Formats: sequence, C-alpha cells, structure tokens
Amino acid sequence: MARRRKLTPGKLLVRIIQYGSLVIASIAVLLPLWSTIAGSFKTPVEYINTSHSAPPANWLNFDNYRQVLFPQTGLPIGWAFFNTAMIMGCAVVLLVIFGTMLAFVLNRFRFPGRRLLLGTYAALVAVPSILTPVSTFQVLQFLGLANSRWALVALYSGADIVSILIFIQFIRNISTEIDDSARIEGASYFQIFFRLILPMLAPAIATVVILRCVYIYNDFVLPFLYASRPSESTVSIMLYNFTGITNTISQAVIMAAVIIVILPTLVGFFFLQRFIYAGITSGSVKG
Amino acid sequence: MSPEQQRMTVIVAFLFVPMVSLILLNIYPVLQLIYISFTDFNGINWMRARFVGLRNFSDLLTRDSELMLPIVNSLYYFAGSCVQIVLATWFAVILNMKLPGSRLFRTILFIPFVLNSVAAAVVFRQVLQLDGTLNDFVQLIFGHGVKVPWLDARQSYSNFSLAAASVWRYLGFNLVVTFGALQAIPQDQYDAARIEGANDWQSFWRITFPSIRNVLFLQLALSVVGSLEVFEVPQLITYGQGKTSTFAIQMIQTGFQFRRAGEAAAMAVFMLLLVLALYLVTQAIARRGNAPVGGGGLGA
Repeated sequence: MARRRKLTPGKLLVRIIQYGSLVIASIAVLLPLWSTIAGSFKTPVEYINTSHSAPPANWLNFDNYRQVLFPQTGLPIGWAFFNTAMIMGCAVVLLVIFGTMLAFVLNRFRFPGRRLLLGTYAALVAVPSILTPVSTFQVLQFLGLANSRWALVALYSGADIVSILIFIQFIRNISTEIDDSARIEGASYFQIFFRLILPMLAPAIATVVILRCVYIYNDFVLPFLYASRPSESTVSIMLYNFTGITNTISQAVIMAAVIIVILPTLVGFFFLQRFIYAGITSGSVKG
Repeated sequence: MSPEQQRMTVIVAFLFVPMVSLILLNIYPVLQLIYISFTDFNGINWMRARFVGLRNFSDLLTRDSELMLPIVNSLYYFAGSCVQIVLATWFAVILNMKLPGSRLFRTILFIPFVLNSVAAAVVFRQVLQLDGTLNDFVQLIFGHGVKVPWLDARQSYSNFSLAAASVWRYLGFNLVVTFGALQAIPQDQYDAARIEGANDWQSFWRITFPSIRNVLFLQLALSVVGSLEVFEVPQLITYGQGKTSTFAIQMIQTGFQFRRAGEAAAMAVFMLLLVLALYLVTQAIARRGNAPVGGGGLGA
C-alpha cells in the first residue's frame, strides 16, 4: 500500500459505501446459512412457530441430527457419503492417470492426427453435457452402466474436458530440455513420464483433484439423470429425495441434513481456498 | 526396442483409454443425438423407432408456445448474470484495494459456490418461502401480514427469484475470476496515475477496465450460453413447474418422463446449434480483440 493519505470527507464516504456494500453482501450470504444452522437445532413445533432467523431455544438439541444419521426407516446418510466418496475416489484417480498421460503425449510427440485431436478437445468444450442426456443414457445402457455408480465414475473421469485442458496447459510450461537430457542418459519415455513429468505436474494434479472433488461432491445433475436409484444415491440425491417428502419429515430435520452435507465442504474450503481460487483462475481464463 | 518403436508404444499405450472414452462418452453421444432427432425413438425400443425426417424440428418450431416460455425464461437468467458480473466486478475492485478485512470478505462471498447444489437450493428456498426470511423483512417494513409468494411458479416473477438464487450461488465464481485478472495489473500503473492526479474513478476507466475487458467479455459470453442451459436452480427450487420451466428441463422431461426421445433430441440439437453459433461469434469477436477464449464451463 502507498503511504497513508489524509481521509477527506469525500474519501470517507467512498470508504463507507465500499465497506457497506461488502457488509450487505456478506449478510445476504451468511443470513440464510445462519437460519439453516439455527433451524437444525429447533424442535419441529419450535421451527414452525418461530422466525427463521431466531436462534433455537436449546443449542444442544441434536434430535434432528440423530434422525438424519440414524433413521428409523430407509438408508442412513452415511451410505450416501460412502457412495459419493467411492465415486469421487475412482473418478479422480482415473482422471489424473489418463489425463496426464494424454497431456504428455499430445504435448511431447508429433504424430498424425494430433492436431485433429487437439481441435476435437477444444471444440468439445463448447458442447454442454446438459444437452446430451438422451443419447448419453443410451450409451451408458449399452455399456451396462446405466443407473449405477459406475456411470458417474465414467462420466466424471472420461467426459471431463476442462481438466484435460488444465493438464495440457501446465505440461506446456515444463521445458523439453529435461526430457532431452534424460533421453541422452538412456531413460525410456515411460521413465521420463513417471519419474520426471508426473512429479512436476503435482501442482496441476492438486488443482484438478481439488476442483473435481468439489464439483463431484456438489453435483446434482449427473446423479439425478444417471444414478437416481436409492441404493446408488450420492449425497446430493439422498438430500434431494429427503426434501421431496416434506409432509412426513419436519423442516427442522431437513435443515440438520443440509448442515451435515455442507459441513465437509466448508471445512475443506477453509483449508484449501488458495488452490480453489488458483484453479478457477487458470481453468476458466487462460484455457 | 528401437527409439521409434518405443515412441509408437508410448503413444498408443497412453492414448488408448483416453481415445476410447473420448469416442464413447463425448463424440458418439453427439452423433447419436443428431441421429435420434430424425426418428420417433421412444428411448427404450429401437425396433419401433422410425425415421421421420425433419418432423421433430418442424413440430418444435410450430408449437411455439412450448418453445417461447423457456426462451423468455432464459432472459431472466441472462439479466441475472449481467447483474452478477457487474456486482462481482464491483466487489473484486474493492477487494483488490487490499483494505483491512478483504480476505475475510472474499472467503464469505465465495462460500455459496462451494455448497452442495441441493443444500444451497434448500438454504435459499427457506429465504424465499412464504414464511421465509425475506418475508420477515417485508413484514417489518410493510406491516404484519404482508407476504409475497416469491416462489409461486404460476407467476412469471418467480423467475426473478430463481435468477436471484442463481446470482447468490455463482457470484463468488465471477468474483474470483475477475479478482485474478485484477491482480495481474502492475501496481506501478496505479502509482503513476496517482502522481498524475487521477482519482479512483479515472484510474478504474483508464487502467483497470481496459485490462479486464477481455475477462469480462469471456464471462458475458459464458453467461449467454449458461442462461440457455439453466437446469439445476429451477429444478431444485420449484421443480421447474408452471412458468419456471427452462429449455433443459423441458428437454429432459420430454425425453425421460414422456418417453419422446426423438423430440427431446431435436430440442437438444436445436439448442446445440444455437450454443455453437454463439460460441463461434464470441471466438470471432475475441480474436479481433486478441483474447484467447477457452476453458470455462466451471460455473454457470
């Protein structure tokens, strides 16, 4: 910051407007979350009779949480967490392995069809996946994956173009002199990839893994379309089905479910903010 | 192995799985979508599917009432996106002044973007419900008993509520993108301008805006496409009922619930052509302005 200058009344007013707008926007973000937290500790009767933004009578009333974690009927939410974690783990591992290999070959070798491939990936960014469910469903059915968790693993790892573009962009910045000197010392291409390139891609891998995990955990559309059977439910689908049966479940219980679902991402976000910001900036702008 | 053989082995081994997935999950679905759009396929039985030429497309364009609603609705979301970009730029510029507390504000404003989609919808729905937080404020100002049915899907204005929900959720994304662009501007440009006697307003229009114009344009282009593809927010908050239906919601209903896959595919192809045309236009404009346009698709 440059040297502190005298605050004239005009400047002071500008500062007040700037801070004021930030505070109002922060309230708009936090107030709904506050009501959700407050609601999750209210009894069903209390929830109906008090204002949404009023605090609960008893902050230690964990009945709603108990009902979500250990329901009388139906699958517990832990099952959905397990499904989501499994899908996330498989998809991210496959994406990193094959995405980095693809980026390596496309960037380091010249071969017939290379330009066509690069062009295809660039063009596919423009095809929104929300427009192809009718045919994607047919393909998944043909592969025997329709309505299963494996459909999601395939789509999250295989149909993701943005991550591949991030890998290509990173590998472009790794000097080919490293490859050349390793070649002279007798290293094979496989060794160059696994021993040299892959470790140097660590920042790109971290970025892709974190962005992808956030996306998979939060996504509603793909599981809604391709894996909506209760036993295959991801966290999103279980919460969605939960909110659809409002006549038998108290809103207060739904609020507890919402808090349980968003808690892991909030904790992760506070620790990994830096990576998320960096990933969004590099993934969306430089392409 | 000779070096040449080794080279070929690596290329084939490393490309095999990505190529299979590219063809099966990306290219083939688009081609099959085009094929289905020329048939009366019901989504289940290929044996009964007949080739119907352009009938699905002519039906789509003549039954205008079905097509008009989603097109008008996407305008609400586009308006929302414009507000979102302006607000995000405003906040990004303030945060870039490095005032005390700016990190905290950035974290707070970004929170909705990392929330689970369904959870975010539930959270925002309880704000807009008849007995929700927003109506608590309305009653405070206009007296007890005054309640606005913000989410009444029979009313067109419910789309404003849904667009607002969308702004609430995705503002942080634009904020981070614009903020990233602002940080790339060298500080000495501002120092020089200050010595010349420029005020904040002048430095914004002379230095800041020209430097982030391309990034803002990219965001605008993405939001045009994004507002045509809206699915999640209305599906989760009003279940896309009544006047809140969008193109993607109608297409998915037609294909999966009503089992008219041919018509749904025609809708998708129509939308795909529109999106591609917009994409090419933005590419052309961006090339003239020398901005690489690509990536994206993370938000919207």
